[in-house]
Amino acid sequence: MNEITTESLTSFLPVAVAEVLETMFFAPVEPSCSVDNPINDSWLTVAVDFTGKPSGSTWIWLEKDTARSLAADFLGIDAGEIESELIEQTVCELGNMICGSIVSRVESHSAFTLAPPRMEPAMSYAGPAPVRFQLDRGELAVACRLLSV
Amino acid sequence: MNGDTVSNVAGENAESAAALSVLIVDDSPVMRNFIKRVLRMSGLSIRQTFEAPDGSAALELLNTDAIDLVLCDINMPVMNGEELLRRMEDDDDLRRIPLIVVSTDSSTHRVEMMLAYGARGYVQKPFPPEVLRSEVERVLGEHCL
Repeated sequence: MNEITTESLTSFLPVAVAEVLETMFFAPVEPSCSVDNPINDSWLTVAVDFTGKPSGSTWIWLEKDTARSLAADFLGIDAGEIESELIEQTVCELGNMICGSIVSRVESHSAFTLAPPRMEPAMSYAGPAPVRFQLDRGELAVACRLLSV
Repeated sequence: MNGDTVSNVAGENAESAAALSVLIVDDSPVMRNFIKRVLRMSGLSIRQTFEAPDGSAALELLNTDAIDLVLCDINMPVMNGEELLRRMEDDDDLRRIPLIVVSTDSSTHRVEMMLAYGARGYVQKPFPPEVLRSEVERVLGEHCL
Protein backbone atom coordinates (compact mmCIF):
# COMPACT_ATOMS: atom_id res chain seq x y z
CA MET A 1 0.00 0.00 0.00
CA ASN A 2 1.45 3.35 -1.06
CA GLU A 3 1.74 6.14 1.46
CA ILE A 4 -1.14 8.57 1.18
CA THR A 5 -0.15 12.18 0.73
CA THR A 6 -2.06 15.40 0.18
CA GLU A 7 -0.87 15.27 -3.42
CA SER A 8 -2.19 11.75 -4.00
CA LEU A 9 -5.56 12.67 -2.51
CA THR A 10 -5.67 15.81 -4.65
CA SER A 11 -4.99 13.70 -7.74
CA PHE A 12 -8.36 12.00 -7.19
CA LEU A 13 -10.27 15.30 -7.24
CA PRO A 14 -10.97 15.67 -10.99
CA VAL A 15 -12.44 12.19 -11.42
CA ALA A 16 -14.38 12.36 -8.15
CA VAL A 17 -15.86 15.78 -8.91
CA ALA A 18 -16.78 14.79 -12.47
CA GLU A 19 -18.33 11.53 -11.30
CA VAL A 20 -20.59 13.22 -8.75
CA LEU A 21 -21.56 16.29 -10.77
CA GLU A 22 -22.21 14.46 -14.02
CA THR A 23 -24.04 11.49 -12.50
CA MET A 24 -26.24 13.13 -9.88
CA PHE A 25 -26.52 16.75 -11.05
CA PHE A 26 -26.30 16.32 -14.84
CA ALA A 27 -23.63 19.04 -14.89
CA PRO A 28 -20.60 18.66 -17.17
CA VAL A 29 -17.32 19.61 -15.49
CA GLU A 30 -14.11 21.09 -16.90
CA PRO A 31 -10.86 21.95 -15.11
CA SER A 32 -10.50 25.68 -14.51
CA CYS A 33 -7.57 28.00 -13.91
CA SER A 34 -9.75 30.94 -12.96
CA VAL A 35 -7.83 33.74 -11.27
CA ASP A 36 -10.27 36.60 -11.71
CA ASN A 37 -13.04 35.15 -9.57
CA PRO A 38 -11.50 34.75 -6.12
CA ILE A 39 -13.23 32.67 -3.47
CA ASN A 40 -14.70 34.92 -0.80
CA ASP A 41 -17.30 34.69 1.95
CA SER A 42 -20.14 35.08 -0.53
CA TRP A 43 -19.41 31.52 -1.70
CA LEU A 44 -21.20 28.63 0.00
CA THR A 45 -18.69 26.36 1.68
CA VAL A 46 -19.05 22.87 3.08
CA ALA A 47 -16.48 20.78 4.93
CA VAL A 48 -16.61 17.01 5.43
CA ASP A 49 -14.23 15.34 7.88
CA PHE A 50 -13.18 11.75 7.23
CA THR A 51 -11.55 9.42 9.73
CA GLY A 52 -9.66 6.24 8.96
CA LYS A 53 -6.22 5.77 7.47
CA PRO A 54 -5.71 8.54 6.50
CA SER A 55 -7.89 11.11 8.28
CA GLY A 56 -8.56 14.60 7.05
CA SER A 57 -11.19 16.81 5.53
CA THR A 58 -12.59 17.78 2.16
CA TRP A 59 -13.67 21.37 1.53
CA ILE A 60 -15.94 22.48 -1.30
CA TRP A 61 -16.78 26.03 -2.37
CA LEU A 62 -19.62 27.05 -4.68
CA GLU A 63 -20.93 30.37 -5.89
CA LYS A 64 -24.45 30.86 -4.55
CA ASP A 65 -26.13 30.96 -7.94
CA THR A 66 -24.27 27.81 -8.94
CA ALA A 67 -25.44 26.10 -5.78
CA ARG A 68 -29.03 27.20 -6.39
CA SER A 69 -28.98 25.83 -9.93
CA LEU A 70 -27.45 22.51 -8.86
CA ALA A 71 -29.97 22.13 -6.03
CA ALA A 72 -32.85 22.80 -8.39
CA ASP A 73 -31.68 20.06 -10.76
CA PHE A 74 -31.01 17.63 -7.94
CA LEU A 75 -34.42 18.12 -6.37
CA GLY A 76 -36.47 18.64 -9.50
CA ILE A 77 -37.63 22.07 -8.28
CA ASP A 78 -37.67 25.36 -10.18
CA ALA A 79 -34.55 27.37 -9.25
CA GLY A 80 -36.65 30.43 -8.47
CA GLU A 81 -38.71 28.58 -5.90
CA ILE A 82 -36.02 26.77 -3.97
CA GLU A 83 -35.41 27.77 -0.35
CA SER A 84 -31.99 28.54 1.15
CA GLU A 85 -32.26 25.60 3.53
CA LEU A 86 -32.69 23.15 0.66
CA ILE A 87 -29.75 24.71 -1.18
CA GLU A 88 -27.52 24.24 1.87
CA GLN A 89 -28.73 20.66 2.37
CA THR A 90 -27.95 19.92 -1.27
CA VAL A 91 -24.50 21.47 -0.99
CA CYS A 92 -23.89 19.32 2.09
CA GLU A 93 -24.91 16.18 0.18
CA LEU A 94 -22.70 17.23 -2.72
CA GLY A 95 -19.81 17.51 -0.26
CA ASN A 96 -20.63 14.15 1.24
CA MET A 97 -20.59 12.43 -2.15
CA ILE A 98 -17.41 14.11 -3.37
CA CYS A 99 -15.60 13.28 -0.12
CA GLY A 100 -16.87 9.71 -0.27
CA SER A 101 -15.79 9.36 -3.86
CA ILE A 102 -12.29 10.61 -3.00
CA VAL A 103 -11.69 8.37 0.02
CA SER A 104 -13.17 5.34 -1.77
CA ARG A 105 -10.26 5.61 -4.20
CA VAL A 106 -7.67 5.40 -1.43
CA GLU A 107 -6.03 2.02 -0.98
CA SER A 108 -6.55 1.39 2.71
CA HIS A 109 -6.96 -1.56 5.01
CA SER A 110 -9.42 0.36 7.15
CA ALA A 111 -12.93 1.57 6.47
CA PHE A 112 -13.51 5.31 6.43
CA THR A 113 -16.13 7.14 8.42
CA LEU A 114 -17.46 10.42 7.11
CA ALA A 115 -18.69 13.00 9.59
CA PRO A 116 -21.88 14.92 8.82
CA PRO A 117 -21.10 17.75 6.38
CA ARG A 118 -21.02 21.23 7.92
CA MET A 119 -21.35 24.67 6.40
CA GLU A 120 -18.34 26.90 7.06
CA PRO A 121 -17.33 30.49 6.33
CA ALA A 122 -15.39 30.32 3.07
CA MET A 123 -12.35 32.07 4.42
CA SER A 124 -12.00 29.90 7.53
CA TYR A 125 -10.09 27.33 5.49
CA ALA A 126 -6.34 26.92 5.83
CA GLY A 127 -4.61 24.26 3.77
CA PRO A 128 -3.50 23.30 0.28
CA ALA A 129 -4.75 25.47 -2.57
CA PRO A 130 -8.22 24.48 -3.82
CA VAL A 131 -8.55 22.90 -7.26
CA ARG A 132 -11.01 24.83 -9.41
CA PHE A 133 -13.59 23.45 -11.82
CA GLN A 134 -15.80 25.14 -14.38
CA LEU A 135 -19.41 24.00 -14.65
CA ASP A 136 -21.91 25.11 -17.25
CA ARG A 137 -23.49 27.26 -14.53
CA GLY A 138 -20.57 28.69 -12.56
CA GLU A 139 -17.53 27.62 -10.61
CA LEU A 140 -16.72 25.10 -7.95
CA ALA A 141 -13.52 24.55 -5.97
CA VAL A 142 -12.39 21.56 -3.92
CA ALA A 143 -9.49 20.91 -1.55
CA CYS A 144 -8.35 17.99 0.58
CA ARG A 145 -6.48 18.43 3.81
CA LEU A 146 -4.76 15.54 5.55
CA LEU A 147 -4.67 15.52 9.34
CA SER A 148 -3.02 12.14 9.92
CA VAL A 149 -1.92 9.13 7.93
CA MET B 1 -39.95 10.23 9.39
CA ASN B 2 -43.03 9.87 7.32
CA GLY B 3 -44.69 7.79 4.72
CA ASP B 4 -46.46 8.78 1.57
CA THR B 5 -47.63 7.24 -1.62
CA VAL B 6 -45.24 8.20 -4.38
CA SER B 7 -46.08 6.12 -7.36
CA ASN B 8 -48.92 4.38 -9.00
CA VAL B 9 -47.28 2.99 -12.07
CA ALA B 10 -49.41 -0.12 -11.95
CA GLY B 11 -52.55 1.99 -12.19
CA GLU B 12 -55.53 0.27 -10.68
CA ASN B 13 -53.33 -2.55 -9.50
CA ALA B 14 -51.20 -0.34 -7.28
CA GLU B 15 -52.64 -1.87 -4.17
CA SER B 16 -51.86 -5.37 -5.36
CA ALA B 17 -49.40 -7.55 -3.54
CA ALA B 18 -46.76 -6.93 -6.20
CA ALA B 19 -46.45 -3.21 -5.43
CA LEU B 20 -43.62 -2.43 -3.05
CA SER B 21 -43.40 -0.50 0.19
CA VAL B 22 -39.90 0.92 0.41
CA LEU B 23 -38.17 2.41 3.44
CA ILE B 24 -35.48 5.00 2.64
CA VAL B 25 -33.01 5.52 5.49
CA ASP B 26 -30.67 8.48 5.09
CA ASP B 27 -29.86 11.44 7.33
CA SER B 28 -29.94 13.79 4.34
CA PRO B 29 -33.49 14.91 3.54
CA VAL B 30 -32.47 15.96 0.03
CA MET B 31 -30.96 12.53 -0.64
CA ARG B 32 -34.13 10.83 0.60
CA ASN B 33 -36.08 13.08 -1.75
CA PHE B 34 -33.73 12.25 -4.64
CA ILE B 35 -34.04 8.49 -4.07
CA LYS B 36 -37.81 8.81 -3.83
CA ARG B 37 -37.83 10.69 -7.14
CA VAL B 38 -35.62 8.04 -8.76
CA LEU B 39 -37.97 5.30 -7.56
CA ARG B 40 -40.95 7.22 -8.89
CA MET B 41 -39.35 7.57 -12.33
CA SER B 42 -37.91 4.08 -12.43
CA GLY B 43 -40.98 2.25 -13.61
CA LEU B 44 -40.87 -0.02 -10.56
CA SER B 45 -44.23 -0.71 -8.99
CA ILE B 46 -44.03 1.31 -5.78
CA ARG B 47 -47.05 1.42 -3.50
CA GLN B 48 -45.62 3.52 -0.71
CA THR B 49 -42.36 5.02 0.48
CA PHE B 50 -41.38 5.60 4.08
CA GLU B 51 -38.49 7.77 5.24
CA ALA B 52 -36.24 7.64 8.29
CA PRO B 53 -33.27 9.88 9.15
CA ASP B 54 -31.38 7.18 11.07
CA GLY B 55 -31.38 3.50 11.97
CA SER B 56 -33.33 3.94 15.18
CA ALA B 57 -36.24 5.66 13.44
CA ALA B 58 -36.06 3.00 10.74
CA LEU B 59 -36.43 0.21 13.31
CA GLU B 60 -39.59 1.83 14.64
CA LEU B 61 -41.09 1.86 11.16
CA LEU B 62 -39.97 -1.69 10.44
CA ASN B 63 -41.79 -2.87 13.56
CA THR B 64 -45.01 -1.02 12.80
CA ASP B 65 -45.40 -0.98 9.02
CA ALA B 66 -45.27 -3.57 6.27
CA ILE B 67 -41.98 -2.84 4.51
CA ASP B 68 -40.78 -4.88 1.52
CA LEU B 69 -37.38 -3.30 0.99
CA VAL B 70 -34.93 -1.04 2.85
CA LEU B 71 -32.57 1.36 1.06
CA CYS B 72 -30.06 2.44 3.68
CA ASP B 73 -27.12 4.81 4.04
CA ILE B 74 -24.23 3.86 6.36
CA ASN B 75 -22.99 7.03 8.02
CA MET B 76 -25.88 8.44 10.04
CA PRO B 77 -26.26 9.90 13.53
CA VAL B 78 -28.05 8.10 16.41
CA MET B 79 -27.82 4.66 14.77
CA ASN B 80 -25.79 4.04 11.63
CA GLY B 81 -26.59 1.65 8.81
CA GLU B 82 -24.24 -1.04 10.06
CA GLU B 83 -25.99 -1.19 13.44
CA LEU B 84 -29.42 -1.17 11.79
CA LEU B 85 -28.37 -4.12 9.65
CA ARG B 86 -27.11 -6.04 12.70
CA ARG B 87 -30.37 -5.39 14.55
CA MET B 88 -32.40 -6.58 11.58
CA GLU B 89 -30.29 -9.73 11.24
CA ASP B 90 -30.85 -10.48 14.94
CA ASP B 91 -34.62 -10.37 14.49
CA ASP B 92 -36.38 -13.40 13.01
CA ASP B 93 -38.96 -11.26 11.23
CA LEU B 94 -36.85 -8.33 10.14
CA ARG B 95 -34.04 -10.43 8.68
CA ARG B 96 -36.41 -11.47 5.91
CA ILE B 97 -36.66 -7.89 4.64
CA PRO B 98 -33.91 -7.23 2.09
CA LEU B 99 -31.65 -4.24 2.72
CA ILE B 100 -29.68 -2.54 -0.03
CA VAL B 101 -26.89 -0.22 1.09
CA VAL B 102 -26.84 3.15 -0.69
CA SER B 103 -23.62 4.82 0.39
CA THR B 104 -20.81 7.09 -0.70
CA ASP B 105 -18.39 4.54 0.72
CA SER B 106 -17.58 1.94 -1.91
CA SER B 107 -14.25 0.80 -0.53
CA THR B 108 -13.77 -2.94 -0.87
CA HIS B 109 -13.41 -3.20 2.89
CA ARG B 110 -16.80 -1.59 3.56
CA VAL B 111 -18.69 -3.39 0.78
CA GLU B 112 -17.43 -6.81 1.88
CA MET B 113 -18.23 -6.02 5.51
CA MET B 114 -21.81 -4.91 4.83
CA LEU B 115 -22.53 -7.89 2.56
CA ALA B 116 -21.09 -10.21 5.22
CA TYR B 117 -23.43 -8.64 7.79
CA GLY B 118 -26.41 -9.48 5.62
CA ALA B 119 -26.93 -6.65 3.14
CA ARG B 120 -28.40 -8.05 -0.09
CA GLY B 121 -27.09 -5.33 -2.38
CA TYR B 122 -24.86 -2.29 -2.56
CA VAL B 123 -25.24 0.89 -4.58
CA GLN B 124 -22.52 3.50 -4.49
CA LYS B 125 -23.41 7.19 -4.46
CA PRO B 126 -23.29 8.79 -6.94
CA PHE B 127 -25.47 6.49 -8.97
CA PRO B 128 -27.40 6.84 -12.22
CA PRO B 129 -31.12 6.06 -11.73
CA GLU B 130 -30.86 2.87 -13.79
CA VAL B 131 -28.26 1.44 -11.42
CA LEU B 132 -30.58 1.75 -8.43
CA ARG B 133 -33.42 0.23 -10.42
CA SER B 134 -31.37 -2.73 -11.62
CA GLU B 135 -30.04 -3.43 -8.13
CA VAL B 136 -33.58 -3.37 -6.70
CA GLU B 137 -34.71 -5.73 -9.45
CA ARG B 138 -31.77 -8.05 -8.88
CA VAL B 139 -32.40 -8.23 -5.14
CA LEU B 140 -36.13 -8.65 -5.32
CA GLY B 141 -36.24 -10.78 -8.44
CA GLU B 142 -39.61 -11.04 -10.04
CA HIS B 143 -41.39 -9.61 -7.02
CA CYS B 144 -41.05 -6.06 -8.33
CA LEU B 145 -41.67 -6.72 -12.02
